[in-house]
Amino acid sequence: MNPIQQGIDALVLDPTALLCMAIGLGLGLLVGLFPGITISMAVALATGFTLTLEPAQGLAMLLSIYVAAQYGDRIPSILVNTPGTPAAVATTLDGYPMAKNGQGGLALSISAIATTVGILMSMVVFMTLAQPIASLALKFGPFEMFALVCFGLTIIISIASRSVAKGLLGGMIGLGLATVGLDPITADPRFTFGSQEMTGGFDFIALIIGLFGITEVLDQVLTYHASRVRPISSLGRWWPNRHEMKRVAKPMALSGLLGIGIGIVPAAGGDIAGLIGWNRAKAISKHPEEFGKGSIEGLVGADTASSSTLGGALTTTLSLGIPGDSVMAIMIESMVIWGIQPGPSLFERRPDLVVTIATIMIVATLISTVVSLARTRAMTKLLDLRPQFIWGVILVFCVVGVYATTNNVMTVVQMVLFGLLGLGFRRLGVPAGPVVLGFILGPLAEANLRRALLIDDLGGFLTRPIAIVLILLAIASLVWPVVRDARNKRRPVAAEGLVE
Amino acid sequence: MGVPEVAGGGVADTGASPSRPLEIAFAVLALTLGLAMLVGARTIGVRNETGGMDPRTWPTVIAVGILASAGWMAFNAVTGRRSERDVDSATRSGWVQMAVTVAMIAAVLVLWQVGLSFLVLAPLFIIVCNLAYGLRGLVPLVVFPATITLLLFLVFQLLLKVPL
Repeated sequence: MNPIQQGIDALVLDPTALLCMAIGLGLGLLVGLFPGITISMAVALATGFTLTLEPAQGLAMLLSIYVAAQYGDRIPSILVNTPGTPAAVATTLDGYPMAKNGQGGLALSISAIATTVGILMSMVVFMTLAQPIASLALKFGPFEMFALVCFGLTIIISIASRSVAKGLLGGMIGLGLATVGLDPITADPRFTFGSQEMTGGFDFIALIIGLFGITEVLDQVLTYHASRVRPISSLGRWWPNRHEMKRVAKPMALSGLLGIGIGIVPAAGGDIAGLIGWNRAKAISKHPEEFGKGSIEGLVGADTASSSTLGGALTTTLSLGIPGDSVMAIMIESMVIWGIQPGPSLFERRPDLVVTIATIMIVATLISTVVSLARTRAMTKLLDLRPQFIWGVILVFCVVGVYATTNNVMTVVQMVLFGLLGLGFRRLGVPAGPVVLGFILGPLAEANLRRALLIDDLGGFLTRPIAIVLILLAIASLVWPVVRDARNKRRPVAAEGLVE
Repeated sequence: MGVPEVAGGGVADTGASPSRPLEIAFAVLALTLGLAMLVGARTIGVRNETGGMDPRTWPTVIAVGILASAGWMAFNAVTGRRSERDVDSATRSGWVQMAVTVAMIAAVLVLWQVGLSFLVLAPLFIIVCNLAYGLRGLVPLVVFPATITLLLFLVFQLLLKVPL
């Protein structure tokens, strides 16, 4: 059987995979709907359930959450002016004003359509670009791989944090946590303090659920401020007319392409893409004065760009083995636990799995579109639920999810400690993304550097153009935010940001 | 999400205020961590000394990286740069609720380790947490904990065969 047929069959002929997809879609829509539950947190929690499943089944659940949350998070952005996830920040700029103007229904429908177009556009790029990129990456030696890992890490540091110093610290701590255990080559114990239990190193699931789940809940408990805002209930008409569809076509295409480009950059996610897409849509609009006051073009620009990062992130993750965003970081580790190594060789060893992933993404997108257009009215009623209801429940699922992976309470203790550490980091401005990425990429970086230095000395980098370019890009991604901030300080008016 | 809109269209600023002492204390803590890691890295026992890059090298590089970033943070804190905090301010009730939550998690883990079933501990945990979060009534204190426990039993104990 050819890999394409095999890949599609792994999803459509397996009732368990379809059930996992249905559960993932339901969870994703709910996750997006409740502000405060991030997609990373939901996917991290779901890994506790999926590790015992077959790869196609587990991926069906994780990727469906990833896709469906892109739809759910637009609802509170439009009706309550509160983004369901960070990726929907730019949706509030025109979505909420539209709802206040009595066009809530139209905003919800057009947002769902823009999201669908964005994801499908990005999947076309994934299907055409991922394999050529992977083929190119297969030619990389240890010098190039080490440089690529450095670039992946530094780019997330510069993007995820307001302070490069704190982002760098987070990345270094992640790298440091990954050194605990036995040395990968000589098997000498490092930082185990004589404990047999620590020779295996820290548990990845405990780390991600601690940093994304426990930290998130504890931070919400700590900072909850009651707000009296009520969802807008008068939604008006739902369907866009022909004139409106014609008006949004151009910003939709432009923002979609922008989002794809941003998604390919490791760690640059929907939040950044949404704001840039909104800004570009304004720049090409005949009615820029309407932006921020309920412009349908602004809404489409933000949502298409934000959602089209998905295919780009997937391309980087699968073809290079470098996570495109924090959800993809979790996905990479889940795949490793299933015995699959994402990266260039995946396209040679398991082409069927790549097809399965693309099929899941496309089917999940189409189902999410139908559900969003048909059931949004009912879903808006859930916005009345108080967040306190879900805090305790999430904590219970964090505990059980982590316990299920090892059947060992000590792994749960690790998770709680990582959660408290993450809370401290968050309060002090250290982002979780670089910590997780450092933990994942650390062993890869060390192994490639050691291999490279067996072949040649450090001067070997200078004889390899790709490695030089990647190292220079890594340095630039750390230096650029510092230079930009210094320039913005000198020009305070220009530093007002993207959205005036 | 730091500034929830309140009724009437106003915006309540709930962002945490910047704190230079906190930034300096954090930088000092990070410096200490870097130093500890550097010492730890240099004392890693290696059975076969081969020269070149050994098991100590990579942790040493990371420790130097931690020291460098901590030094940068200390410089920023002392010179008054980058002291803004992109987080919401903590509330007094939030501290109490968080303390109760952490204490409950610790208690659950101890009792679970002692031998009590998680299916007994989970509903109790949810009830105490919900009480601490100010939820009252039949739904948060009875229906919710019972439903979640049933779900845990069905999914984990029966389906995934996880001994809870």
